[in-house]
Amino acid sequence: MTRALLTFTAVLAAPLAKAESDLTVSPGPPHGGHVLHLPDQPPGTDLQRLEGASRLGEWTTLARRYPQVDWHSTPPIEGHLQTTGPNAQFQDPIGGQTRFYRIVSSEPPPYTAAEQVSAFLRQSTFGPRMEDITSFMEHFGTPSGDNPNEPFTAWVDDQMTLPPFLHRAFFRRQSDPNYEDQSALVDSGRNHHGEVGHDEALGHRLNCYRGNVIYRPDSSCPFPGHGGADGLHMRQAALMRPTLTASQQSSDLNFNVNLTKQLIWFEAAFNAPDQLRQRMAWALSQHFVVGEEGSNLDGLTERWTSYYDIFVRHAFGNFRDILSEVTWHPHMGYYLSHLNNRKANPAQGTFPDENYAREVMQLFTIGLWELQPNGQLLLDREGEAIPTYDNDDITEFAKIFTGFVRAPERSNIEINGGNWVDPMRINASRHDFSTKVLLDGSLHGPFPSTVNGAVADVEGFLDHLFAHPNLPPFFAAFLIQRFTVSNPSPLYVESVANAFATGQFEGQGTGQRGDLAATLKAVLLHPEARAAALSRDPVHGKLREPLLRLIHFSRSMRLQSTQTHGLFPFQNLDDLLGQGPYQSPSVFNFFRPDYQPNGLIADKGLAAPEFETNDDVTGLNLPNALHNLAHNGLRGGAANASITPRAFPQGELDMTEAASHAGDAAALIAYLDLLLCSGRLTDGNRAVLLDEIAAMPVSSQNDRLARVRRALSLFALLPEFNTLY
Amino acid sequence: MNPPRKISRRRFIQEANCAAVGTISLFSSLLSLRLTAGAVSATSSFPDYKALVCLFLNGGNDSFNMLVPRQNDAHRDYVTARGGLHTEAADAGGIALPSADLLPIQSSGQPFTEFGIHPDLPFLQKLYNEGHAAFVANVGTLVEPTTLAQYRARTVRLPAGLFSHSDEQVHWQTLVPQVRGSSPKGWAGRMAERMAQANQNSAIAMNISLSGNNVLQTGFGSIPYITDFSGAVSLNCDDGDPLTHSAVDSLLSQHYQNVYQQTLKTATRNAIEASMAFKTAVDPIRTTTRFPNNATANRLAMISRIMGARTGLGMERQIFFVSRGGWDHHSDMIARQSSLFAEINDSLEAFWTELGTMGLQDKVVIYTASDFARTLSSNGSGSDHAWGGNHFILSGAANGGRIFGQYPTLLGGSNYDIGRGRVLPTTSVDAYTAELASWFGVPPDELSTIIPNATHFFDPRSTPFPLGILGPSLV
Repeated sequence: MTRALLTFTAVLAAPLAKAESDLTVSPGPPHGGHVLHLPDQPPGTDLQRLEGASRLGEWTTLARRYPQVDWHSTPPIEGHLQTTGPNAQFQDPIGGQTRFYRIVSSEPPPYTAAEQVSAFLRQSTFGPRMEDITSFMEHFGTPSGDNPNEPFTAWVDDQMTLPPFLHRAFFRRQSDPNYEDQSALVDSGRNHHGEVGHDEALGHRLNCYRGNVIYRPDSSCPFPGHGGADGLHMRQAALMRPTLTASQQSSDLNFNVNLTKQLIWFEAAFNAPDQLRQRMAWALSQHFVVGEEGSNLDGLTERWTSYYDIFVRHAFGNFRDILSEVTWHPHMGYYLSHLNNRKANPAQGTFPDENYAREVMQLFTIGLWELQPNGQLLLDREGEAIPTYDNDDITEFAKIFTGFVRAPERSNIEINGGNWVDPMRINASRHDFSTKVLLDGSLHGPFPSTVNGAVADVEGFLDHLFAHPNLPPFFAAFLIQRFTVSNPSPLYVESVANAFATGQFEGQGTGQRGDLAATLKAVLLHPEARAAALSRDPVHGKLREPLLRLIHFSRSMRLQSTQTHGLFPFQNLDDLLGQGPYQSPSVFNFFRPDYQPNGLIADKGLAAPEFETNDDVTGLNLPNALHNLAHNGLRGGAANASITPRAFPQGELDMTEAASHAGDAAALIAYLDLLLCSGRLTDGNRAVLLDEIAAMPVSSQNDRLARVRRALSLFALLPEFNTLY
Repeated sequence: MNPPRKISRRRFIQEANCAAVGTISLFSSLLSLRLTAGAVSATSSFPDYKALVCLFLNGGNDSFNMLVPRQNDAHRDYVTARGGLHTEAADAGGIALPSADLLPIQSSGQPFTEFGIHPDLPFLQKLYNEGHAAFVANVGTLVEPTTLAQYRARTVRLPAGLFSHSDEQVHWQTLVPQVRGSSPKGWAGRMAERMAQANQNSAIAMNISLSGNNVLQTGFGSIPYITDFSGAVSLNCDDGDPLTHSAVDSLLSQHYQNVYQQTLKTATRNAIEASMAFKTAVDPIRTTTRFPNNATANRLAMISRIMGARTGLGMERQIFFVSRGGWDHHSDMIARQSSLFAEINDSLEAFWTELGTMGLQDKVVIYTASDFARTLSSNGSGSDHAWGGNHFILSGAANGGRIFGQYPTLLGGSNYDIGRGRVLPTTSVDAYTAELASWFGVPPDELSTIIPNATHFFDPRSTPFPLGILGPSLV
């Protein structure tokens, strides 16, 4: 299925090797290298890669094309296409040594429509269940040769119309039986973002009221009114599950309050219909990071969920709104310490805190180095990368992020040590209103010494960063890595960056810079995300985030919680898997975008962020945890990777559908291949699995369930499950 | 308990030979198959056991509050530079520690003799006074010796991405700060590759991390073995069933065209192989000292056990990496640093005691690293990213009871102040590291392969111990 069309040697200063076919080589410009004249005839349905090597056997892809996309460079970028279209030429800058070139042509894998849908849902949701695949094809059609993107576009459009699952609103619903959903009531000013419906007349501290009755929450009560000291829920539990012991029943919803925000997060990931929005929110939360480490008051819920809901509400909105809300949220204000930051005091020799000024540029908007629109480094005349800012800029911009204080306490929000929900306010006496010099040398200010003057100072600076040419490619590359591939081609980055900058994808969108709906569509619908032929490119795809693998595996077998009101009390995932909701170890997220694991990937100069947290510990904890889920349900205990607090089942997989296929080992494997690997299972591994499963007894339902469990344990180890490509 | 899983030797050898990159742990695994536990080669050229422990204070320790001038004028300058003494009063802003709170120590070789250690580090004071702890003052990443005038005029090469966490952390680990990113690989990784024969019988990499993947221990062809503080994780999905063993073995023996699949497969396989050897040797070892239960102590306790298992592991040299986060004290610095120092202090005390029990205090060097130190000036409740800072080394092998390097004048506007009390380093990380590498056994004429910029700062051949901490004292 894959063949090298031709291979030949180019030797500098010797007659260049003859072209055996339509790939010819000529000497490069005076500074060396070679120019390759690429074949003209269309590739058919094949993926074609131009590869170069300085030593035989160590091939690097220089450029590629496939039916949807003409010749383009791929990472690591060495050389460039001089011309495209007919008579395309590639210039390889490496000279002064023997070079080998070849074109490798590969047929696309014959993925079925269902497999293409499964692959798409692995990218865009928390992982498909079988009903998600069938329902997709019923409602949106099956991808076909004529318009392969139409069903995917229709699905994305549909997802974008679904009402958002708001994390804070879910908490309110759980905490108050009389809850009225007023989540549509969003104050667009800098007042109460994402306000949730609640009867303010009931009073001040929401945790304490159900109807007009006060319930005192305690430290083991994740949802007010359930479990905890009021005991109400314990009695319900006893009626519902007579097989459990009294102590097991009483622990039903009795968890450390730190878990509350995570219980909500898992509810969204597992069950919220707006899967694309939740995935986008999860991605955005990895860009504008706040983690438990380095924050405080982990036991609060509204502080964390009101921050997270910024990303839920604006998932398909505008980046600029997120940048503003993140900057003003007291949760971020605490984390990056611009809360209570003050202007310099020359008499005492104190200066404004530089933390937010630095990270808002390095991590949230423009990054460290000047970029081209396609995400490649911009180089100066000496070939050096150009820093976007220097430390004097940081000191300068630190003055902007001064004067922030928390909003006063009010009713209808969680209060603990003050107001951690509403946007911060300005104390004008602490703000530095002086004129600042911006990155382009222009002047910003001075500002009138009022609250509005300070707001104008902050928002004007955020506008400045938002308008920076680095932002579109910087954010595009980030978003692509979270959804589809680790090493996007410059073409792909530029396409997504262009959607961000113009606010349009394929002629649709608001036309506003920062339109995230257009940007996300570009990520998911670009040929580089969709073309089956790219599965044959060895550097295409990514390692999936460990948390997404855990959830996908559980969703695929319809994890049900038999305790805990349908909530999933996963815990310790950061320790066990290197990733858990709200558990980034620092503002740098779980993994760096340029992380290179030693070996093949580093040798090729490629990146693979998710490998940063994959090690001898986490790399075995995940398959162990999935094995335990399959065999023991969601259950902790010393002998297992304790992804949940208790040693009795908190949830179980529903394997009946899988078991209905298990009479035929091949059918079971095909079922799991579609569901977990999107049809990527290799023939070699299929044969191994078949040997293993077909040898197991099959006479009873228990036999068939045992087959499913064994197969699931082995699928958990498969690279085909753990990666996207 | 499950019997150790048998693996296909033939397939494994094939893979090792064919792999584009053979990691040390991979090759070591092969060797382990030939040996029974406990066998140690008599031909090792590194007969004395030695271990390095890197304690990385992730986020940038404000180390001018760790090692503080106590002499009158110098302490006064320190208080001025830090915006005044810290008080609990609202809006105070000062972050200096009062002289009376500091734990007094003396040092020769500095402009003055009276220094103080942070009040939450009493064990460090004790060890310093016993001669087993040393400080190195004002260490930082440099490409070449740099004066304030040269820094301002940019007439010397400077580290790429100065003052940024992600860049400076990497520079401390690669020792090639003129290059952005981890491509130069970590110096401990390079050193482990140079000294691989010391552990030629080991299934486990010389570099062992208790804090996950890191640059320091990643060489060109080697990666660290990574363990949890509670012990190695082994695969349990086979349920002890030999047929399933064999299926797992086969699934992890496929060759994948896709680089992510192939990398994951190799990593998973290596983890399984190494965990078997590791568990066999380490699980029976227990510490005799009672360690506190915290993030640092849990890891140091595990390190003690791995040291105790050195014979079973077939290791003459071990390099450990422990990272403790939480030092980015832009706000509430005084309280947050105190609680972290208390954790470090108690953890090190238990570790030192355990080393004594094992008779290893002379064989182990514990040293600190950190992104950078922080601005001397206050931002109102903390300090911001800066450059040069103070570090300590604990070892029975150290010429302790001294502050090495050059403790700078802290007053603003000095020749070391590049602005806001960001202190220009006077000792390079290279010189600091040379002490560690030379002690560990890197010959002088090979120091430059471990520390590529070494010759910018000292002559590795004539002064492989440029500060005199772990080798012949220069004073």
